Amino acid sequence: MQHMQDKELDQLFKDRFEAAEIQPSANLWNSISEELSVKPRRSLPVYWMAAAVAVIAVTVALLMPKTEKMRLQAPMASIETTPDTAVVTAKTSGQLNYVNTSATEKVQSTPLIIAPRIKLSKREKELAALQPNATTDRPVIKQPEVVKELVKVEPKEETPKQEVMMAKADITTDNTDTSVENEHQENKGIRNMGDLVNFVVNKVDKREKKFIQFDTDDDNSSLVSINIGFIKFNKKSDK
Amino acid sequence: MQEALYRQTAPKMLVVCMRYAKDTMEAEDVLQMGYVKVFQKINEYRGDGAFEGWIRKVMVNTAIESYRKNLRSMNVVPIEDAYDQPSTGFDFSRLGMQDLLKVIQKLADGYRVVFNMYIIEGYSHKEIAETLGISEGASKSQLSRARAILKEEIIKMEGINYATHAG
Repeated sequence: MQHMQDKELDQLFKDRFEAAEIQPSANLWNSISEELSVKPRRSLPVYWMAAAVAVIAVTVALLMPKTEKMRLQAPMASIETTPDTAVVTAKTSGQLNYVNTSATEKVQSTPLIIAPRIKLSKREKELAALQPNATTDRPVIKQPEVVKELVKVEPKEETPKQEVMMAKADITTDNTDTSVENEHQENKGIRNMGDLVNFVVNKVDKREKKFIQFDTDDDNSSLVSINIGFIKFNKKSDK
Repeated sequence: MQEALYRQTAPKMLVVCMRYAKDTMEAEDVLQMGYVKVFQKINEYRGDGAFEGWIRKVMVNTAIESYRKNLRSMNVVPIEDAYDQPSTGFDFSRLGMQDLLKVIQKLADGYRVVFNMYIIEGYSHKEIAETLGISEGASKSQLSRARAILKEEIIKMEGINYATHAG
């Protein structure tokens, strides 16, 4: 055999490398596990997005038909007026209830024992939990401003000679629309699915044009805007 | 769990990386990248075939990827006129894995990759051509060049080994 054959050479390399082992540097595992622990943080927002999208899909499916029906049936004027009265009645009845119940609690409790006091405060908490419907609901915040608007607009039309009043009225009327809207977006808590979606999206998406937003002024949510790169939809800008 | 898997398989995988790399440092870089991929894609393993085989595949792919990224401007190959040297009987048993590794690491990058892919991993010239973006002819000629250089080097080495043993 004068020449080394290709097959021989190939076999030699195959054999030698087949089960061969070389110990890597001792600290190599540390760098690998370090790199592995960094990566998951990056992918977390993706899961948030996925969760948000899932919630949105369900919300849209459930709530879109409802809002359409509501609008067809109810004229704008009745929507504006009814909450006021509703709030007043709710508020007063709530307070009356509270007085009544607390009064009865006091009657039932014995003054010498501490326990009833705890019971009373517990009762207050329960009542407090029931209160927000009347106290923190949207119309309460909105109500004074609507009244202001009406009050200040009327003088402007009737007595245009009062310049000071007119100037004030201009500023307030210009601002009321936007300020009311802003307050709506910031002050309200999470009352429905639309709020929940807005909350989640606000946490994840810091851009001005969120990738999805809902209008939650009425009790049901309606889609306001979508911004997913290639799909852009904005109800407000359409108007 | 991850560390145990690493400890168990890394020594073998380092050999795979060493075959494709110029030196130990480069090989360990590839090994690290490869294991990060293994643990990130571990749910892509479909359970067909040996798990170690799957890890090996990830390593090989990582090594090839790294070669392609590092592909220097023209990948200049030293033009040595490789020739078949006559010799009387080889005693391969004296040639250890480390010797072969040394020889293979001396090869130009392009030769080394083709040799590894074809001889050890068993890719076809067509697959190599597609993976590396070269022609099938180039793959074939690089392989025969690589073989010629390796033979020459091994014979040299064998001569030295033989001399040291005899002397």
